[in-house]
Amino acid sequence: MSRAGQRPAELATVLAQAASFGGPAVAFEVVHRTREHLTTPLAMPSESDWAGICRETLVFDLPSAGFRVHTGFAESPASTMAGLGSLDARPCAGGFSYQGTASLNPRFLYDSSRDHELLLSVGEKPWQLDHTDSLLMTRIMAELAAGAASDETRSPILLLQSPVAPFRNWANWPENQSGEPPKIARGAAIRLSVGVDGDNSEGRLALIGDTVRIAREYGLQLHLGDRRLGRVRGEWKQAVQFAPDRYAEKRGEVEAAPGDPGQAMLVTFVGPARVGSSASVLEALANSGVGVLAVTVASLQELAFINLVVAVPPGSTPRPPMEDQRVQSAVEGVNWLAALCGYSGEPLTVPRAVDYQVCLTGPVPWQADTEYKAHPLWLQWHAPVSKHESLTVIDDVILELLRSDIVSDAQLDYCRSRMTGDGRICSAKVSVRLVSGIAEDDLPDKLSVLCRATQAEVEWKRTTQDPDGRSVGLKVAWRERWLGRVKSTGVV
Amino acid sequence: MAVGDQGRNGQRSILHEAIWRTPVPSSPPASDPYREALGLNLLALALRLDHVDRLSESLHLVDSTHMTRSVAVDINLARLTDAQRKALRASPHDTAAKPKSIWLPLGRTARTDLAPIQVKDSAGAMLTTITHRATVRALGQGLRRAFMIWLDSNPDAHRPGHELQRLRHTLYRSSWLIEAALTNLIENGSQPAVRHQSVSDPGVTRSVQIRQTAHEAVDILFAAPDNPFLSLLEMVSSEHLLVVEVDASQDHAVLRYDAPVLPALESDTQGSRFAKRRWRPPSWASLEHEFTVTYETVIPRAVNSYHATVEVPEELRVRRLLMTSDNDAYAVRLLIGDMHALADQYETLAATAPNVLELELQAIVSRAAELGRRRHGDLAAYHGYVRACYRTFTHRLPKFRSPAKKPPDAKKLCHDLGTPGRTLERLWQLSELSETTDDLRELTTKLTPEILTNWAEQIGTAELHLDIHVDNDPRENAGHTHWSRRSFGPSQLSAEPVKATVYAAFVDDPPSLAASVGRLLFAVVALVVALATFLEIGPSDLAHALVDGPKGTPATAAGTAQGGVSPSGPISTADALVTILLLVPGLLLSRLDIPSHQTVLGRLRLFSRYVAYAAVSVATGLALCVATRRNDDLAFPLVISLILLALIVAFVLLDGGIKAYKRRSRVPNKEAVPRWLIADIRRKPRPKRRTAAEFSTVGRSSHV
Repeated sequence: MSRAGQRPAELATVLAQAASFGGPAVAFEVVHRTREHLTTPLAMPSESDWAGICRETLVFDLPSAGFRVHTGFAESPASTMAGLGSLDARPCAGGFSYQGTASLNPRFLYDSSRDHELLLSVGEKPWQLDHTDSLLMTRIMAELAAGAASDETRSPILLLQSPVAPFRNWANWPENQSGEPPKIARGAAIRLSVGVDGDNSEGRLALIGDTVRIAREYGLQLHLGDRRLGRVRGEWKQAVQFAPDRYAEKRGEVEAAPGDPGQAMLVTFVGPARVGSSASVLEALANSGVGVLAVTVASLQELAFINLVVAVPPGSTPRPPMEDQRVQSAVEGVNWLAALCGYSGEPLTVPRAVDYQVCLTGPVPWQADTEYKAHPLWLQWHAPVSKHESLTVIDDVILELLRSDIVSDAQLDYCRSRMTGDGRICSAKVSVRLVSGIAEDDLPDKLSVLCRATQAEVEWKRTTQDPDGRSVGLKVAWRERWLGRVKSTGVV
Repeated sequence: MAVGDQGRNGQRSILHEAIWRTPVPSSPPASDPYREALGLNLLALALRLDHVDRLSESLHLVDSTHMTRSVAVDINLARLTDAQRKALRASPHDTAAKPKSIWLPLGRTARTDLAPIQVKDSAGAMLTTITHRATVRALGQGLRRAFMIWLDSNPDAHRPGHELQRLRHTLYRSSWLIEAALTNLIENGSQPAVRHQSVSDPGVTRSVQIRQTAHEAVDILFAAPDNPFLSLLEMVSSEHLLVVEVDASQDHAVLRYDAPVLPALESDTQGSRFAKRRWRPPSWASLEHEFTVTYETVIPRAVNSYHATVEVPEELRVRRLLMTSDNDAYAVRLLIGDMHALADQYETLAATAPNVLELELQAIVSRAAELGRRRHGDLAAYHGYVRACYRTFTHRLPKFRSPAKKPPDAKKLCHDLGTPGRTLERLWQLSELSETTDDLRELTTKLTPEILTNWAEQIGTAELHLDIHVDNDPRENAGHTHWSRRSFGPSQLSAEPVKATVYAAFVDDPPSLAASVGRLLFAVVALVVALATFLEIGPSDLAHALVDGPKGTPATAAGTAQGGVSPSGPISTADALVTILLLVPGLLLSRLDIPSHQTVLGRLRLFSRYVAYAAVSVATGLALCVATRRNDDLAFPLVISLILLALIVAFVLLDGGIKAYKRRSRVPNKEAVPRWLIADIRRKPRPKRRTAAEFSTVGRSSHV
């Protein structure tokens, strides 16, 4: 039976959900968060200020800025709407909000595809990118996205993210253990997850071949998700070693203004998810000399959200977008960004994303990451659908972490939640900075105790708060694979 | 044209035909949001049965060609979201967030099997079922809405000047026609093709132009391969949903219903569920020692537990019962696909990324080893089952083939696995090797592209995607087997429905008709021998009569009139002898329970029936000779009767021998049984045979 055999059930489910909520339209909200708003509680929109139930959430926080995306079914029918409706841009408590609706996109059915993950990293370099690095990153990400959209692979990107935790695997560290020491939370690394059809083995190998070529060309370290039986997300096998000389050579080929970018633009492209849209956008940016400092690409309810932190070249003083320029078409948006970065060539096009729109916020102050010594903790929990505060488990976890004697700071990096049947599955990553003076060899024990204590405390608190005494099934681990079966889309 | 193309065009042509036979509407079809949501939710739930925890079927053979099914469904309404409950509310006016009662789909049946079904709850109370008419109306409204969503989601529908944009904004009647055709198709099913008139034909009407536009729009909208919308449409137009009203205040309930009678597959209707036609001998000529049956069904995506119970009349015995399912079909298909793809890319990867090649090979080996572990567990369970069957009639347990000799190293094992033979045994050795030694590293030195291709071929040929579940019912006239879903690792999760096949062999074991017929035969032989003794015809007379043949002189009336034994007339006690020769076998025959040959029992007792008839016929023939032939001419009929009876006895003994052999059969050589099982037990596997009767609920859209 081909994968086509699975799609009718997926299509019927999507259509039934849409019909149950009144209209075939998806309502969404993108919030660009600036540094001063990053500490606001992480609740989902309540039903009172959100037309329908919030079904999917993506949160991506960095030390200087962040993105928060919510989607749900629109309450009002929108059958006459042409694809993406107009976006409403306005300041909000969390930063700057862009709200809109889009027609349902039932052609994008990839829940049952095989999640294939790749991790490219500049060795163990922390995420401290200068303008040259950002230009290189844009080029690399454009090539990766193009590989996924190539004729052989033709698969959608389920997740593209940077910065992420790079992978370290020391043989026999510590003795007789699994050889995975605590990592740094944010490294100069790109994590890519592609939904390849199970029957498209040739496409999967073509994607791997492309990625190996890219890693070799740029001197990057490449890890592939371990596909051996019983292996779970977070287990990696090294395919290509880091080649620092080659990376330095590629850096030397880039013509960029020296120094760190002092400002950045927060950019989100949004439109109906389809294979090749991210490749179009990233290629246009790479061709026009736009540097990307951070990225998270994901599809929520079959809508693609391409969130970018675009570096403002050092030394330039760009004008912020006019009020009517905060929301533009994708073509106008990439040209606007290109102009911001000094591009003066032919007008750019985005052939696979012509119907997308772009939301622009900034420029915002930007500074290189100073928390590179932080360690990542991975979380997973589930909650009843009706609870709009189910994401605030993160706030409880961070609060509990900060109470610990060994933690000096804790911050959310990434969170994803998704409705699945009768509940909501959430997964997240938190970075914690420990107090100084802890020996490297003691780290695993300290982190293990910290995770167990936090998990027990928050679980107990949530269970006692729930009127029905339901558990949220929280798991906290300092090794990603200890969460077990988690897909990049947040579905177990 | 490829098979896929035919299927796709077939699905599209169903809609085309509906467009050409549906009257062109002059106003937009009425819209009903309640029915739209109800129809789409019923459809989505019926495909997956998320709310069903367990499905239990009890199968009864009415006769050799008809089966009835009693189905028990354990439902769990906690799996439904509030939005689903609201959409499924039984009363459109019930505006509560959690409605009191909801419509719930319990299963799908082919439209050809449509019959009234009574669904009862655990207390025996009958539940309301939604009418077929109401179901198709809701589904029609839902699919119409789905079509509009599908059209809106097409980027071309918003591109000025494009045909789809015109369909959406100006060519209203063509758009309404497609919607009406969908409703028509769902309400009335697909019908034979009609001739399409072309717009280039002279005198073409406005109606034809509208239809032509709609026809072309469907071609554009559904041009992509494997369109899920058309698959849904095909399913909805060929199947019927069983939907009941349930009390939504309780999460758990058990519902029971009797499904429509299922006929055995006999027709050759193309593309339908009766497509497996084959020649069968007429029932009166079908001599069988055991009656074999297969029952094929589909376990929906979200159902994780399935029970099948087979019950037969007390006169019958269940000799073998097992269930196979293609639970691992997706994982094995991926494995074989990966093997072929890697074999193609082997040299490239070896040159550019040897680490990746090693990782891919290890992934393949780990999955193949797991497959070996699974099937080996199934094989062990099957061996135990056959041993238990043997213990019911003998102390000598069956002998199975001894484990294959372990190869000296991993390289030899990898090579052997690619050659025809005991693939399962090799895979089991592979799994043992992967757990106990470190030999399965540096696989690039052991697995070449040729070996990978051979592995793929052997795994596919051995049907290793089929698992086995054996009978665990202690009753002799019933069997039960249980299936539960087993996932094959996080990256191999399949959302596909599982096809399960129950195989059963029924026999007429002692005390059986054959024993009674044996006694009848013995009585007839004894009667004939007694007659020869009474007439003082010894073995030498019989031998001479056989050599000389009949004397050819009929008895005369004068001879008999003289009384006593006259050489020219019949025997004086002929009346008494004829009476005995007719009466004794006749009485014994009348005491036999010979059922109709349409029933399973009748099919199994056909040989015994013919033996009984033959024995009585011999006695009748002899009686005729006694009545009409001279007393000195009875030796020849007697010897012929004895020869015929000896032949019958020989057939009976042969039949008994075959029965004893079949009872000791370790594995049935049937299509329902996976090849890996046959190959592991038989040294020289033969082509698999079909069963005497095949039943199936697998419709042409069951892959949906």
